[in-house]
Amino acid sequence: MPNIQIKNLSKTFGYIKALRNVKLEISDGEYVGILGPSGCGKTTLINCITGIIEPDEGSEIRIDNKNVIGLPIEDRGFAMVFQSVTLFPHMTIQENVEYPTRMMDKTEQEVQIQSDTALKLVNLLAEKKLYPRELSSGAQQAAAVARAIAKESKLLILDEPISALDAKVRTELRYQIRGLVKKLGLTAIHITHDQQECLSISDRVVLMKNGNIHEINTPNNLYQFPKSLFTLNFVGETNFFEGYILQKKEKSMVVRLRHNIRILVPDESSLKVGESVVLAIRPENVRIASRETKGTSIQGKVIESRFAGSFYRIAIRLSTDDTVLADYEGPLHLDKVVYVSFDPNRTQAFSIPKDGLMEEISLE
Amino acid sequence: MTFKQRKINASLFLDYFSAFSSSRLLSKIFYFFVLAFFLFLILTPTVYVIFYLFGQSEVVIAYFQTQPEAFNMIQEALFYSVSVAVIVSIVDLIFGIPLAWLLVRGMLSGRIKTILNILIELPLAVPTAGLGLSVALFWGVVPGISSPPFSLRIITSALPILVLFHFTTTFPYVVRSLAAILEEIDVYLEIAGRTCGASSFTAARTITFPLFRSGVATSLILSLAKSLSDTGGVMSVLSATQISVWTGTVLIGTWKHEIDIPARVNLDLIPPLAFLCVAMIFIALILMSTSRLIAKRVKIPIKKVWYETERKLSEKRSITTRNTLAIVFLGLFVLIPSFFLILYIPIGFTSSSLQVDWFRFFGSIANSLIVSIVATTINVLLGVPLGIFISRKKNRISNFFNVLVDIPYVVPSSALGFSVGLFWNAQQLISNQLFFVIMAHSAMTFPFIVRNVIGGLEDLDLYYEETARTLGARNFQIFYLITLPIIKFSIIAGIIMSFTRSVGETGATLAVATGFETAPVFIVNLINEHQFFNASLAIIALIVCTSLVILVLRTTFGQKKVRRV
Repeated sequence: MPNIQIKNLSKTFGYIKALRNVKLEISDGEYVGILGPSGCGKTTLINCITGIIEPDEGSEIRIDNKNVIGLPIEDRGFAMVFQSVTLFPHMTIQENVEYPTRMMDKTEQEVQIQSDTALKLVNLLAEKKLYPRELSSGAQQAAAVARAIAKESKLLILDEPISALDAKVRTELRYQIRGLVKKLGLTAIHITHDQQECLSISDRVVLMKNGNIHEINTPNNLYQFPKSLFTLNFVGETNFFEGYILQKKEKSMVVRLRHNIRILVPDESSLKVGESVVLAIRPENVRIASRETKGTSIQGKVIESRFAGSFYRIAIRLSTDDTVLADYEGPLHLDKVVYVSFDPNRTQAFSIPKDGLMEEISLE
Repeated sequence: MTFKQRKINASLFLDYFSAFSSSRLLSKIFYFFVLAFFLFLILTPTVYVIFYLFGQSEVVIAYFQTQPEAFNMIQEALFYSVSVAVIVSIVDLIFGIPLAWLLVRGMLSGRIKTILNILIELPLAVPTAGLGLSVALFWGVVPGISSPPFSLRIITSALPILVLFHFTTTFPYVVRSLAAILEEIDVYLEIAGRTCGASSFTAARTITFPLFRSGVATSLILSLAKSLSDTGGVMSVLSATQISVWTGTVLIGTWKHEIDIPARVNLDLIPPLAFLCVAMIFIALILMSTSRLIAKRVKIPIKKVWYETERKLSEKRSITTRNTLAIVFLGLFVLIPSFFLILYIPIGFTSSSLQVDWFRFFGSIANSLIVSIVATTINVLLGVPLGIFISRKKNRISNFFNVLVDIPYVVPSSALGFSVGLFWNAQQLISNQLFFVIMAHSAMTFPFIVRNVIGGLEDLDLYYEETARTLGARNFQIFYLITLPIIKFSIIAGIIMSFTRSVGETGATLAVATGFETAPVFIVNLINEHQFFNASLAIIALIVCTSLVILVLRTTFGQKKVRRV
């Protein structure tokens, strides 16, 4: 069973620490998405697992309980799909998909069966005599997936496999890949910088920042109840307000914002009265009303109203001098006075980071 | 007239000029002249010898019937030229591929890579006549001098010494071109192969190698052409070791000399010499098309896998062995023999008296510089428009010229030189030796400029020129303001290549004119007179002069990575 254990994984390039003591466990049959801004170390992590680069001394990577450090790429027992189409241009689709089985000392018949099965899974059996350049880029990448599957490894590594494709093809292919992985009972590690893609296909998301694993969570919790301000800011969009705790009540607390405006939010037990906090709320959890609700709403003026597909994105200048983004079903007139309230179950309070909010949420 | 008015007038004139110079008719007339001059100055003289030989075929047959030893000499010359070229090219590939692999895929640190690159290119700075002397001193026995320390003195026969000499002239080119082509192949294809379970050797064999074939053909042709056409170095190495044997280019040089010796002008030799030149040209063409064909036809098995053997070959130990062998080859067969001359200089300094004929010395260097500069200037004036024509006008005529441009590159330079001399002599317009030499050098180095311009334009997206057009620029303005500044570096690279090639050339000079001493000819003559120390000094002086000119070119026009051929 291909469970993966990574301990103390570090990689230094000159003065740059690309990975700092990464620890990660992936269990059998899991679809793990690795997400993070560019330069966060996700590619380095995958290059260390695959053996394209060797990590620093003392690092430990076990695949299937076998330490793979020092082993050549071909002996690590995984299949891989790359960001660029790496189909071999001088071979037909069939020859490409046969390639991994030919490396395994099998009979001609077995090679045929295995490659045909893999091609059937991605619906490319009819195109098998074509050369890669004769297929669309989406079909080429699907063929690359078939080639990886034909290897019959239990571990599949996907390095931004669909980032370079058109939006429509991208959505189709990502569900197709997840479906295949689940159907065949594989373990998958899928790297991407596209959060929507990552959240929609992963069982578990590993969010990386600055050479470290920042947070590991299920897609739902990562979005709804993230453990940090960085996650909140990186995944989806968020409004931030700074204030301090005025008073703690049963299951809720009163936070004072600028201009002595008070707001009621769910209690966070670790926070104390008098402590400075950052409130975070996503635009879809901001309510807009034309009448005031005493104690929970803040007055504001519409300063922008943008069409965003199934909803309108409204920017409102609050009486606290903060600007808040809210999702609303229709357009609103500029300068219209509205009252904004926050969904109490979806508002999170964090104690203010010691290097300040901007430093905490920066992608560097 | 006020300054302002003058400025307006000037800009009106520029407008008028650019409108006129951008008109369709003018551009047609211009290109017609460029093509006509290319045909007349470069191409016709180059192939003139073939037409001449057809007219003289009976004379040639009669000559060989009365002088059978001449025919034997030709046979010997061709045998040595061909066998040396073939052996050298194959060995170059055997060691060149691992070395190029190490350079491009070897995960070397930046500094080591730079050092290795410099080491590989270093022998290119030495004129081949100098390499010949250096190789003779290292491998061979040079009678009449006290040998420098560490000289091996083990080679006394012709074939091995010629092969050893040609490694120094061809190996750097082969490695450079192989590395440049390997660089273009996506390394991730090979990594993908390994994630499919292929060992690194299997992945290289089944994936990179099939994509690399045309590159191998290019390198093979490069080393064949280079070793078939070298004259000065072969003359130096044979003369210094006193091994007497004919090769194609040496025989061309020698016969041409006999034809023109003032005391006994031997015009009878012209037809058989034309025969020899044509034979060399055809051999070059045949070898080159054969290597292209082999590279195209030979199929590398991509479905078969030899598990055990290939796994063993992928092990670290095998890779280290392979890299070590390639580096040892570079050191022992290329670098040390190329620069062994340095060890001779202190010995020469103490044992021989310095009797340099300074007049001849500086005269020859001045001749070399004049020839190279004028020939390169002609090449720039003709080659830049021709390069633009070939890469921008995609039609049948440009395709035709695209093929023609490479002819002077494939033809051995001494055969080319003889052909040029024959052509201009037949015209009886000009009998100036300097003019002959310039025409020969210009024909020989012409492809460098054109190929660099074409290469530069291919990298340059048409998009820039089209953008300029949408902004209202005319043809001439586009050329002057957009195209030229961008391909400037390619042109400079071409100029440097054309210039260095011309400065180091012996064969073409000897075959086109007699008694005209350029620096390499002077060096060969000194070696023939066994003045090795003086020759060494002349070699160093020539290296210094060439480097200075290149330095001036680079500092004047800015520096950029020289385009690899």
